[in-house]
Amino acid sequence: MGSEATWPPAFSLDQERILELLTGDRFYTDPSAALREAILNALDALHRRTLSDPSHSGEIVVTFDREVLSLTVADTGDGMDPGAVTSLFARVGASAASLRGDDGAIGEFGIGVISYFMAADSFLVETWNGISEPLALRFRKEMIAGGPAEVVEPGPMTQGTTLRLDIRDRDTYQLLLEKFPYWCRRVESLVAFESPEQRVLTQGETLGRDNALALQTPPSIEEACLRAVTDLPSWEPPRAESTVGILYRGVYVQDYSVEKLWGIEGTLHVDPKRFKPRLNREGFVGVDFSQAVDDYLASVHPAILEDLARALGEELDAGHLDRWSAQKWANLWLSVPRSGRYAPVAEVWDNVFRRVPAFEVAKGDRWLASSVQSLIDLDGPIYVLPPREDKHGDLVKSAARLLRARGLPVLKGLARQSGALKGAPTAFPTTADLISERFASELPPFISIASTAEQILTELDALHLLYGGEHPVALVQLGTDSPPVVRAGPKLLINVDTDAGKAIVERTIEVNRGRSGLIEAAAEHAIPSLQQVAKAVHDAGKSDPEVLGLVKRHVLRNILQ
Amino acid sequence: MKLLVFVGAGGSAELGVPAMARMADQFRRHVREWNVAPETVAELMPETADIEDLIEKLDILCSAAPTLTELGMDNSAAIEHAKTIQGEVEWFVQHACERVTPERALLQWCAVLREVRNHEMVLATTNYDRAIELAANRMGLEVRDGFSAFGAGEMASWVGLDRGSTEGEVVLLKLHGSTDWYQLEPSREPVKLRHPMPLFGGARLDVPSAGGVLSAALILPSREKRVSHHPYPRLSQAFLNAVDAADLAIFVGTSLRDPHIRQAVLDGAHRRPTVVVNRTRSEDLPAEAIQIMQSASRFLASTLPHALRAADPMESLKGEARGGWERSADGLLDLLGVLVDSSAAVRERCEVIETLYELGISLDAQLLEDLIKDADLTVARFALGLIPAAVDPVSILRTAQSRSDQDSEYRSELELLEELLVRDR
Repeated sequence: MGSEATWPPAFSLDQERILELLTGDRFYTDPSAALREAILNALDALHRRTLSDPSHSGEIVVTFDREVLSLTVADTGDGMDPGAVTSLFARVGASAASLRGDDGAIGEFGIGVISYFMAADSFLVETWNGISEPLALRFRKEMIAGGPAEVVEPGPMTQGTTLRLDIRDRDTYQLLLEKFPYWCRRVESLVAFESPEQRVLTQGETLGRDNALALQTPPSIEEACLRAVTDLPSWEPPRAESTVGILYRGVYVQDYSVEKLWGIEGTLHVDPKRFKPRLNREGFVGVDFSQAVDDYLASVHPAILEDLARALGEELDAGHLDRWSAQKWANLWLSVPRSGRYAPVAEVWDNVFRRVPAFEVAKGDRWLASSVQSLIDLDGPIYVLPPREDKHGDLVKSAARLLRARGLPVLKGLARQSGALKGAPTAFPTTADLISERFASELPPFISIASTAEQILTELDALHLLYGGEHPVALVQLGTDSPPVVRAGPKLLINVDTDAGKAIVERTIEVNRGRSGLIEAAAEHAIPSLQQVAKAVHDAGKSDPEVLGLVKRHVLRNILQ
Repeated sequence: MKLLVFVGAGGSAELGVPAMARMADQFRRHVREWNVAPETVAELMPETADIEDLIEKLDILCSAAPTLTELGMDNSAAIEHAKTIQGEVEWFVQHACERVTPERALLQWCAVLREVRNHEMVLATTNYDRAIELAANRMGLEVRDGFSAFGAGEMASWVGLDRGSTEGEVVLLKLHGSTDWYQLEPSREPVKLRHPMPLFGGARLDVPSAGGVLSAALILPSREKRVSHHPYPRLSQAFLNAVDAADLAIFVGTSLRDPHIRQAVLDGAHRRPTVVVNRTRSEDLPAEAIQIMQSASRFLASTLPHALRAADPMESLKGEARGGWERSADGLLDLLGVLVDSSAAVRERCEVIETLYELGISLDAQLLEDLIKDADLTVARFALGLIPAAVDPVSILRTAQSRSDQDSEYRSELELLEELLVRDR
């Protein structure tokens, strides 16, 4: 601890503390942190004065001078005597809190001195505690290596402290000026100007109390200015998380991200009596802080999501989301939590989303984005494809193709994309599953194509039966994007819409050795389904091959044409 | 419709009777094998000549004998030489012509002969073989060729062709004679034998009931004989009358080298529809003549009968005229022979059916019905495919339907066929 014997004070680095701070998460990374540090120190000074004088209404005046490139932060706090200056300014690493045991103090602002030198090569401190003599000291960067501060003649002053940084250069000045609203979000009793024209500077909080949702706060949170995300047209969150700003007495301290609670934006003002910023000011001390914020955000998340649903509905009605794809809608909808406190919220979402196109329905060869509302009026069942096309086997593809060719509704539910709202649990694998449950009473019945493909194909009207019997072989039209051969149960379907399917039939007609001709065609085309049936027929040992007569071959050739 | 169908050597080629040029080759080989004056034959019938040329020369030589004797020129040795060759030719040609079997003749002629029910038809030919007679006999049809019916006897006598043809009757003009026609000596009347045998050279057949002996068969007439020797002039007259009276004249399998046949084509082409059927196109025919490039067997077995059943026979024939030779079925009678052979392998018979189908052959109705009723259902099922090309599909379909309960695959094809026929109607 310093004493008047070391006046004027020289920097005395607390090696141990420096090491502790420097090996933390972050150290000062931004020269504009000097501004934040100065504001926080001023707030601390004001707080100390109000402790001893509750009637005092403090003020902090921030002045940027563009002509001389200076930043002045003047507070009407408690001011300092020589001992305090020596202890707090010169003993880098010391803590006001540790020195005075005062919970209201900001914390380890001794290290804050270092931040001033990130923006300035020298700074002037003028301070008066209203009792002892006013003090004025100039601190220069060279002092860090050793040497006392320079004592200068203080100007006239009231109780408090004035810090004037001589900004290093114009770029640094500009940076500090631009970062003013970033650091100063809603600092009460603070006014800011830029000289020489005395332009008033505005603090940065955009989401005021009037725009935020009315949310109850726990003791650890002094004020919550939260709402659902607002820039909806371009909103496309890759992860299920939200980031809110944490403010300490109106000064921005850090962004706080919370996982699984997506859709929240805004700021939280922590209770300064409960949470103290870390020494490097880029965080808060204590595990409790994280837990408190997590718990609070979790508690308000349902309300936020409900607000988000309504906002989406309004934007949708206004036509601002016309560019949203069905996939984007699906990503959101599937990520909505549905259990417990979220149940009513999910209902709000479902009512909004009943009119959004969150899945696709086949119309002929095209897939069209469709909504629940458009499905409600359909007659007959709706056939549902499995979500992943790469998992669609030949049977499913063919059955789907057949249904589409018949003009029956085929629905493709959308699963959430891997790069969207990652981490959010989903109650339903696809939007098809979602609507089939949530709107079950309104929609026609859903039939899974995956589980009924074989039945669908076996019921279809064949163009012609190539061979009858225990293993019938029929000619069908399944479209060019279906495989040439599909096995549906014991029946083999040859798709004459494909060149390979036609070639198989032509070959069979040409060799005309009955079903054993299929084995020959199988050898040429190496189609497993074809080989399976041909083998089954062959193994059955039918002695008389079903040789095709002239009439039948004439008909088959016409079909192929 | 009054129809004249003239058939040349091409009409018997697939029946086993070689055409004149080929017959000449075979005769040259024959005389070499049997050492019957091969050098003389070669001199009289060079490579470019056919057997009719040889016959003509031999006839002239042999006819010259009395005159030479009157003139005191003794060429008896040369004349005997010529007579020997003449006898050999007579035998050879008769023998070649008798290669025709009734079964094969039926395959070629049955469909045309059935049409005599519906048309007044005159068949004329310069062929000596009995293909038409054998086929008609198999079908139980009477042939009016100028000779009386046999009745219970062995011999028929010439009665003439004074009256025209009537429906249901086969009128046959054998312009160059027939292997079953003979000359009765001494009256020189033409007679016909039920069981012909080759009489050649000096061979004679004693027929006491006929009151004489039979000399050489009335075939191979020289030009001179055709003008003067009974019954050839009558036959020629009847032919010309038929040509003039015909609504449609058809000339099948003939090179038209014979002048009076050629003249019949040239004279009539501008007066009424004339069709010439041959393997190659002739460039010196009148433009009005319709040329069809087909084998005689295909034309007679399929094309002509089908056309005669059509609503407009001429349009049907004109349609055939647009096709080229590649559509023709060479060896059609061989195919039909396999088809009707119930001992042939089923697969082989079905392949024949398939070939006929691909060629668009219209089978004789009776033949097709027989196939539909075949003991083997696979053959029957294949034969269903020929029904659409048949002259009367509806009638044959009824026959086909009577078997539909015998086999599911047969029934399946029959049902398809019925659908197709309804759709095409």
